[in-house]
Amino acid sequence: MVFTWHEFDSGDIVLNPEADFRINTLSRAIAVDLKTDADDIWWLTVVQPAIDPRTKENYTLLDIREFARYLGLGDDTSDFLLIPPEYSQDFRKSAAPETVSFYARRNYLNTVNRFVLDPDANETGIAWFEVGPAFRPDDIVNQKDPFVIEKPAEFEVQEGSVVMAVIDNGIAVGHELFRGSADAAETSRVKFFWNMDGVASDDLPASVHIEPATVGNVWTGNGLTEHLAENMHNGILDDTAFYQSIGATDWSNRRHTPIAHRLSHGTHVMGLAAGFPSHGTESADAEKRPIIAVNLRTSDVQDPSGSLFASWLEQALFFILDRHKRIGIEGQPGVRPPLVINFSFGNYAGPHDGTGAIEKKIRNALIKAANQTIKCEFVLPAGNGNESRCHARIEICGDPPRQQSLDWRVQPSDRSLSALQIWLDEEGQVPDDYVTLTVDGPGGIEPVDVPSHHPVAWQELVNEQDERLGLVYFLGANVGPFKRGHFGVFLYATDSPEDVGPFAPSGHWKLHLQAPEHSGDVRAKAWVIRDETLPGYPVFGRQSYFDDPLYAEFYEPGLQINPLDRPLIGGRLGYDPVATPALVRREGTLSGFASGDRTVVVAGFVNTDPQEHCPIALYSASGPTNNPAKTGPDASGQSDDSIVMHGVVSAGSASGSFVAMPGTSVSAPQVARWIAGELSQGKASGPPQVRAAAETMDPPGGSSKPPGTRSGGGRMLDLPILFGRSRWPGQSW
Amino acid sequence: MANSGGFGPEGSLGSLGSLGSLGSLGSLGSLGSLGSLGSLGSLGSLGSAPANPPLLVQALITNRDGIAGSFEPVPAGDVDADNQESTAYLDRLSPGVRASIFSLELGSRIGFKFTGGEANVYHLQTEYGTSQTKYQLLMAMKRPTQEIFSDQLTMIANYADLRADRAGEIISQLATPLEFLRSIAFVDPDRTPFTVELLGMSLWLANYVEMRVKYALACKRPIEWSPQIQPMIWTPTHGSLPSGHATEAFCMAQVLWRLLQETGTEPYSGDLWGEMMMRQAARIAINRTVAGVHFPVDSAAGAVLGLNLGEYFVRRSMQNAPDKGWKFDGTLFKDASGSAEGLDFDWRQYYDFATSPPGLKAETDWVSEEDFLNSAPDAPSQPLGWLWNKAKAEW
Repeated sequence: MVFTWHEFDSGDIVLNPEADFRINTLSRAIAVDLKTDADDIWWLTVVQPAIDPRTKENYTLLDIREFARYLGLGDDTSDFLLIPPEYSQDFRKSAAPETVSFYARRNYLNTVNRFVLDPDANETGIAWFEVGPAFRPDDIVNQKDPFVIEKPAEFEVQEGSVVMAVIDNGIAVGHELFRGSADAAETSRVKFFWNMDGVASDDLPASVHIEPATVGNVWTGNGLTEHLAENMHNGILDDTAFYQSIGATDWSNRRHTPIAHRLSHGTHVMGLAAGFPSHGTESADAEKRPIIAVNLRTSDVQDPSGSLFASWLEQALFFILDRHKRIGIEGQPGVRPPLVINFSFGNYAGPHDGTGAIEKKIRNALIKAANQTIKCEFVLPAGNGNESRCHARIEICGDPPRQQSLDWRVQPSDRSLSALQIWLDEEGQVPDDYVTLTVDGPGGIEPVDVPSHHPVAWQELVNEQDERLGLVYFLGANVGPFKRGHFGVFLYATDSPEDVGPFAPSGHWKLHLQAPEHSGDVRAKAWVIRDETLPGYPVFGRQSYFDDPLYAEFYEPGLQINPLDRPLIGGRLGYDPVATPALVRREGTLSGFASGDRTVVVAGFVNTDPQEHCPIALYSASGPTNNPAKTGPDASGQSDDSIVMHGVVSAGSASGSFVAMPGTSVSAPQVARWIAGELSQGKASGPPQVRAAAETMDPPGGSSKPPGTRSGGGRMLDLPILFGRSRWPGQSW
Repeated sequence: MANSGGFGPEGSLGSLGSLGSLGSLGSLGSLGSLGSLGSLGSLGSLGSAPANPPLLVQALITNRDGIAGSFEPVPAGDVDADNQESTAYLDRLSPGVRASIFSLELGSRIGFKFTGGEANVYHLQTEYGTSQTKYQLLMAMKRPTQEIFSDQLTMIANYADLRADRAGEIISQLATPLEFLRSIAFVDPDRTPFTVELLGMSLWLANYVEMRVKYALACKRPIEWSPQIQPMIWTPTHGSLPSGHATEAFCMAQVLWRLLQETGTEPYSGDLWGEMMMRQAARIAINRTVAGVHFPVDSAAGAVLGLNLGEYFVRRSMQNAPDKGWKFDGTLFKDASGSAEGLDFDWRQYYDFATSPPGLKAETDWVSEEDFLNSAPDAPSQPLGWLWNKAKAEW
């Protein structure tokens, strides 16, 4: 097969090349998967509205819909643009917040993508957008009008309560840890549950406890309690029957059902964040921790790049803040309890400076909560990519040769997109020849150059039939929300059992970054986008990675290692060696969601005795970031019981089941739980307070204290072991 | 392994092994092999010493030669005759020999006929010594339509999601359900040998009937419908419906649960024990769908057949004449929309804890019950009664 590069011409210019690649190239495989035509697919789209020059505020949702009528796509905008019915009429009429969601078809998205950068084109009302999950027409509730909830259920909780919101996947809400204590075992502490992965609300037996949702179903706690009671038999819950009855399992329609597995991510995480055993607990403790749970669609989570599940974050946060308004405090009208939100997901991509769409959305939600005088904190994991070889630091300084090269291994039999981003350190617009990326593909593909041309430059890799298989682009600073320019390289899948070819060539891709001397010192950071198959999930992709011969994965004699790494021959290294010449680094692997100022970011440590020697888990990702206010995680929590007992114990899917799971996904909710405890006592508990508390639990001065880039203020050594440990106290490994 | 039974500490391991051999009754049976008959012998290995090692045989020959002396004739009056047809005699027999007796007691009272697309299993009412006999319908089963099997296929494909999670269970459950039931109730060959024997016989009955019904109904397996199901274990050569694993597991679960109830011993007679038995049986049945060898409707049919046979076995063992039969009409296995696409196996649709005794219920359109009409005299089985009482006394 012969591959050639196509350079863009001015007619091709688009605002977001990644979105273009998703809806016009990846859609080939997505349409086959959904068994629908690519033009019929609805895409969940996260949008940053443009500013209305008349009001100096963002355009309203109705404005954006009105603009859509003049884009030449037809008068009936509901053929290509849907405002989620979750947004009320008032919300639609008001200046939109910085991030909102739409469902759109690709004819609209392609038009918006072209029009935004074209000064002669019609206004779209959109400044930036990112494309997320895809839906068949039947998969979403296509309602033109906002949802109306006839009699919204409201809840009153005791003073001192803190609402714990969990956004995750595979949340078995019926687990006993989320119910009342032994004498209230049929009462759910989950007050609202949006199960995006569940059977559509309309397909469930009608119930006053079901609220409408565009995707899946929404249950109030009263509904969950009713179904718990109906499915208690001989004193215990029939989990299988319960989940069937609330539309959480449906074997006729789901290829993967996480909560039917012994271990489900969301159940485990929520157990650590807000689980209370039914026996041996003061019932008041449990009742003071009401829960709002959002269960993301499995099909979106199995793609770990984040471009799908993270797109839901806007809708999830909108839901949480909206439902939180319906939880009041007994005897204090108008007062609402504090709120902690745990989102145990991470990714590799993004600017890592706090300007990513997701980071902005979280920031906006926190600001919105603060404006409503709600104490609200958001907790994220640091990520598990420390050893992924998916991050590189590139510096082009001094005399020629002013070039740095990276080898990128794209795996065969990879059913998903392989992609990477290279973000310039330099803020603001740079000259066209500031830096050039040359991409040299395997199998005789001619090298291609993409310069740092503002606003956008791109080259497409096509086959003889002109079918696009790859894309290399540069997107300038301040095009969209980003203050730095970046290059992107996107490749189609290299294999699939479905008829979705042709495929991109796998193998050894070379990336060369060159800068002329007059550009001065050029620095950039590269991140490979995550695409591996997640443990326990169906086959998805295979992780591509940077292959750097100078990268030291293991210790060998003579290597100058960080004093916190152990000089064991062949042993894995958790830190970059001292003065490493490698471009590929552990430093800078922190999750792409976790660079915002306001979120609490949690790393993971491995427990040991004595505790002051607990090492940071090898996988626990590392700062710094490009945001000087966020140099790494804020603290670390236990994520492994010991070096031989991975994970910490929390809820398995079935009631009564407890299992171990590792990763910063499990350290984050422990800190979220601690934050809730602080908030319940009226104490502030944002990132500075978490850092300070970590510092108290892990005082400076010890030789084993990890650096701030790995553990922030320190290891939160005093957090309790919640559900038992995998070894007995005092036993050390 | 069973042959090492009774020798020191390993003996107990050997006995555990013999659980496995008992298992072979069912597992070979469920493969439909004639071996199920041969493995009856393994019942005899429960706790027994190794039989006739050559060195011992040689020693006994020379030993007799050395000590027996001239043979003395024995007059008839010197030996008391044993009572005939007496259960007291059963005490002296090995479990393997008893198994043959119990098999006849059960099997000789079962009849079968396939007519009008319906597999009919009968109980023979008879009073030994009289000419009055009558076959009463114990179980009638109709196979589902091809549309119903077709509807259910997607569910099997989706259940494959759980294969890796359940692989250990699925492989272990290729043997009998006993290993899984004994983890609920304290069944152990050394502790409760007669309970093991009782369960072994209920397994025999389930297998004996289910194979004939499967043969008659000739339902294709999922692997015969789609090349993409790709089961994770061998698909047995016999038909898909009713599921043998479901039949055997529910039959044994019902027998064990009813035995515990009948003892009245606390805490065994509490409903939670029955709840666990039935959950266990359902888990075993569903795991066969996960593995890719059964449709959910197979499990439903198997559960109904197994619970029916379990209660039948209990009645006969308790010397209560069976008095009703059940029907499973697979052609009606559909939801309100007329489809079986989303109709999964849910054991609670077939089981009622509130009835006395707890057991099968006719809640769905496709399950119904019918009392025996114009019953003939029905002699109870003394050997089965003996076994039941022996087992009951163990709790």
